[in-house]
Order: sequence, then structure tokens, then C-alpha cells
Amino acid sequence: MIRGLCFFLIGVAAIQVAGWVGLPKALYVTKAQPFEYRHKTHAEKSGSAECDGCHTLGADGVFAGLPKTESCAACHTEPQGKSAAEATLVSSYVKTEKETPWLVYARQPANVRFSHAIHTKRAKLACERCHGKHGESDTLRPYQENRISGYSRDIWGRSISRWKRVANEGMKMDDCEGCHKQQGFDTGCLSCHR
Amino acid sequence: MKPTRRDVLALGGGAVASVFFTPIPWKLLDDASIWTQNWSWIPQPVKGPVEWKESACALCPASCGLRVKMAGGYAVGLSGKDGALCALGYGAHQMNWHPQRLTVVRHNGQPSTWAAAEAAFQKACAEGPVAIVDGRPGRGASQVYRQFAEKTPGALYAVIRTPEEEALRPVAAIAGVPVERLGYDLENTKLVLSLSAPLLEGWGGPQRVQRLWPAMQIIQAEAELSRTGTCAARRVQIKPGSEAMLAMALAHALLDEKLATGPRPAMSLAEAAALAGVELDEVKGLARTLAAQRPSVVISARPEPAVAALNVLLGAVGAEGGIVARNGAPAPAKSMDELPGTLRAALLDSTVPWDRRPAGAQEVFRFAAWRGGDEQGWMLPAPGFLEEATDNPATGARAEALLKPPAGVKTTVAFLGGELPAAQPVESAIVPLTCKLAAWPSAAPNGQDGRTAAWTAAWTPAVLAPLATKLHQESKLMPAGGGRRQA
Repeated sequence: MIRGLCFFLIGVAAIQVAGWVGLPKALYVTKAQPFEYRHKTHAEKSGSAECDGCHTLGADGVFAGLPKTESCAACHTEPQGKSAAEATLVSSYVKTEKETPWLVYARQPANVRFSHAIHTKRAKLACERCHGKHGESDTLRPYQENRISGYSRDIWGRSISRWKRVANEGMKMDDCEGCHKQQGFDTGCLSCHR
Repeated sequence: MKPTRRDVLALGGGAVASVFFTPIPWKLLDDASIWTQNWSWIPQPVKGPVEWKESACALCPASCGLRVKMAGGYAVGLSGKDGALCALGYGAHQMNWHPQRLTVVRHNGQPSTWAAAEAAFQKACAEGPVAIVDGRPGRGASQVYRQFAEKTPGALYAVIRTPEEEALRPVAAIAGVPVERLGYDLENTKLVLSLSAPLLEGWGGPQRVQRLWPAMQIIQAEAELSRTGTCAARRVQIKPGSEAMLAMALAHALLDEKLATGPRPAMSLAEAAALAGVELDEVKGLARTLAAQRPSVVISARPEPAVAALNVLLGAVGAEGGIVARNGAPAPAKSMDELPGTLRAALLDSTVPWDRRPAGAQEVFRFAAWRGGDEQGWMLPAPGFLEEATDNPATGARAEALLKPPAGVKTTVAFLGGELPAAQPVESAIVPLTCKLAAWPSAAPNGQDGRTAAWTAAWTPAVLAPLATKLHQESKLMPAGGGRRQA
């Protein structure tokens, strides 16, 4: 009886370790960004610490997303230093006029529609509310891709349990709904889904 | 210690019992559901820089201006350039992905090839006569069709006339101008007397009348209540098919009241009013309203010479707010309905509606972007929405193709070996039109004179209504007890 109970508890323990420790390690693969990028340095050199200095909203409210290579080319027609990242930017993207294939931490599935204009202009939410202190970082975080869904780990959140250690952790529908409920804004399915 | 079978079962039992307290099933279920959205065969919008381009909608003659949201070379959203779009217009870019999209030549419902279609068409041209039918004349492509018809022996160019154009044919006959040059100047009209014309139901181009109404007053004379009738400022009940009778009665009333000058119809006022089923006082009141509310115009659903003559008496032909002539209109062309019944073949442009084809054509070559209809003859895959240069015949403006058509698609212009001419702005302006009524027209367009039409109008309700009632009463669907369900 005791022996059976021991094996039962061993089974419980093993699966708990596999689920809470092994699964995140097995599920996510770390991928490298095309080259190193420093938000902090760019904010200091450009003299603008505001996100919308580079991540602009169009006159019609459409979010431009990541800056195009032509924006980078304004300063980086020639390497601004001897770093490998600088050489990659200039030789692979600026000179060839190709867009940088950044791995986007906040990329959502195609059936999700999100308006930055409504959230930042009308609701007056700070960018950090969802993206954290990304803009103050001196280095890009490792991009961890979910092997099954293909999206960033940031969508689920860093914690596999989804217990939020910080307010901006996670970008799943539950997170949107939680914030909307907190703010008292009810939305229907088609407000965000197409 | 050697593990036994019982130990393995206990270990497994512990694992299974506690797996639901780990993220394994829940996280994997969540990821698997997202994974199913990303299967390679599920179409996904292309990711790429978003840009807005301008074009024109080609779904209907209104040619609404479009703002097209493009991502990675694909259209992902549409909005109106100068206002809203219709419900179909907002989703028109999705039509190119319809499962019934035609990308392969089909002959009598079976897949075929462009080479076979071209060979069959050349053979038909050699044997002749062949008709090229244009559903929307005045475009750049229309010029190519005309040129092909001119240089090919036995080939004819024909157009699809709208009911509005057909209704103007009697006016064109009286005024001696091609019907293509005539139009209604409704933007300056104060009052319209509609004789069964569905003015608020898509008549005269989408949204045109809706935009002008209710500032433009509508009086609807009709036999059966229509949506236009319910919205009109006033509705006059007439007998079925008696629109010409009412026009003649109104002409008499205008002349009697000295509100107009000109020839009188042969039929008397009392007789015409009786056949139309309208009281004499109401006819006279209507005539006075038409004269007082000038500029006014009378519009009929069908070509009625009596209505055309009434408009001339009213002074509506050639006057502002009435029926006007313009230059820059498409060159006169034969209507598809006027084509001979001995055609060897007919080539139908993709703008020709599915239910229209020349009567008697032995072989039909129909261009279409989507499958449909009975699929008899040749079905030739045409470019879809925004996949070919879009013409606006009213302005001559042309929007270039924004989207790349799928392989296997060809334009009618390319099939005929032509090349789309450069866009040329149309200088369209209203020109003077003088029109005088020498004598009251006696023949109706269908060959009946007024009395025959009136007789038909009279016997139709007199005979058909009792007949329908009798059929209904004898129907086995009728429950016992004279139509009332027995308790």
C-alpha cells in the first residue's frame, strides 16, 4: 500500500515538474533578431524619448508599425560605428533597400484587429501599458517563439501559469477583456475580430 | 527493488491524476487551436507595408470612387472616396477569392483551353455574322469592340440598353436625336410624375434619385403598390397597363386649361380617364400641378409614345429640369434586342448581365469572372474586381488595375487582339434641344394603338382576377370550409 502510494506520488511529482518546468523549455525556441538594436541609444541620440517619434500614427489613425528601412537610412547610409549590427543594417538592408524582418514580440493572429489610435489617443493609454519598458531597453530581449502556434511568448506572458507579475504581462484575449472590464468598456466580438 | 506492474500503474495513475493541475493540457489545447488557424492551406492576408490607393468601382454604372487599402500588393479593405459604398462594394475585394471564381476556359460545362476558344471564335467569325455585345458602352474597351466589328466582315457591335434609355426612345424619335444623347436633368427637376417607374428602387443609376428625393417631389401613378408608391408625396391608382391612357388624359387636361398648346390625342379626355381608372377631377388637378410645379417631367417605366408627347406638350423636352441632350455621349449603337435572329455567334463582354444573351445566337462566347448561369457555350475567364483598368463612361476617367489577375485570365480586349486606348476625358455638356409635336403619336411601341392597349388593360383585371379566384377556390391546398379552418 505504502509502496503504491509512493509510486503514485512520484508520478504526480514527475508530471508537475514536466508541466511547470519542462513544458516552457520544450515549447519555446529562442530566435535571434536580424541585428542588435538599442532603443535607449536611439532615444538619446534623436533627442526624442517618445515612442511615436518612430512608431507613428498616420493622419487617418492607421498605425505605421515598425519604421521602414528608409527611415533608418536617414542616418545610416554609412555605418555609424564598427559594430556587427551596424554593418548588417547598412549592407543587408539600407543598401539593398529591403525591409528588416524583425521578429515582432506583439504580433497577433490575422483574425485580430487592433487600433493603436483608439487606445493611445482616445483611451489615452501609455504604450508601456501593453509593451512594458521596451523603449528604454539597451538591448533587445530574446525572442522566444512558440513552436506550435508560431507566435511570441509575450502573447501568453512570461509565466506559464499566467499569474501576472507585472500589469503588462500577456497579450491574449483574456488580457484585453480584463483591461476593458477594468476600464468599463464593453466590446463585442467584431470590435476586435474580423 | 524491481518495479512491478502495479508500481507502473500507480506511477501512471499519479501522472494522469495530476496532469490537469499542470499547464500541459490547457496550454497545448490553446496553442493547438491557434495552430489550426495557421495551416498552410488556409488563406491569410499577406503581411507587408500598408498603403492606400485610389480607384473606381466597376460593379455598376455608378462607378463610385474607391480608396483601397493595400497590404503587400493585395487589397485588404475598401472605403468610399467621396462617401459611403453599397454593401456589396465594401466587400467587393473578397469576390476575387470566391470558390466559383472562373480561371479555366469552359465549353458547355467542361474544361477547355484558350486555344480551342480562339479557334472556335475565328471559325464563327469566318462563317458570320457575329455580334460583340457591350454591357457598358462608352468605355475604352468599347472602342476596341467597335473597331473589331468595323474591320471584321459580318461582325456587329451591339449594346445593352437600360430600361431608362429604352423609355427615352419615343422622345428620341420625336426629337430626331440618338437616344444615347438624351437624359433626364433630374438634378434641376421640381416634380416628377412617374408612370409605374420604380424611381426609388434603383432606377436611373444607384442612389441618384434617392439623393434627390424628397427635395424632388414624386407623384407615383401605378396599378400595384410599389415601394416608390409608398414613399411618393402622392400616389394615383390607375388600371394595369393604362399609363398611356393617363398621359393622353393629362394632355387633354393641359390643353383644356390652356396650360399648353399643341395637337390633341384622338381619344377623348373622358374615354382616356375612364380607361385609366382615374376621375376627371383628379386628372385635371394633376395636370394643373404638373404645370404649376415646373420644371416637371413625366417618366414612364416602358417606352410610351404618349408619355413622350405629353412631355413635349409640357415643355419638358429640351428644358432645364426635363429631358435634355448632351454632347460627348457614346456613338449611337444597335441595341442587343435589335440584332438579327440568325447570328452565328455572340461574344458577350463581362459587363453583360447573366440573364441577357442575343436570341437565336448559335454559339455564345461569354466573358465572366465567376461561374454562373447555365454554362451553355463558351465561358471565358475574365479579370475580377480591380484586376483590369476600370472605366467611368460618364467622365472618361480610368483607374488602372491594382491587383494582379490569376493565371488563365484574359480580357475581352486581349481576346479580340486589341489594345486598350489611352484614357481621354469626356467633355460632356448639355446642348440645346428643340422639339415640336406635329401630331399626336398613334402607335404604341408594341404595335398596339391606344384603344387596343386600353382594351387589354380593361379585360386583364376583368378576366384574370375571377379566373385566379376560381383557381384558388378549386385548389387542393385550400382547406375545407371556404378557406377558414374549422374549429
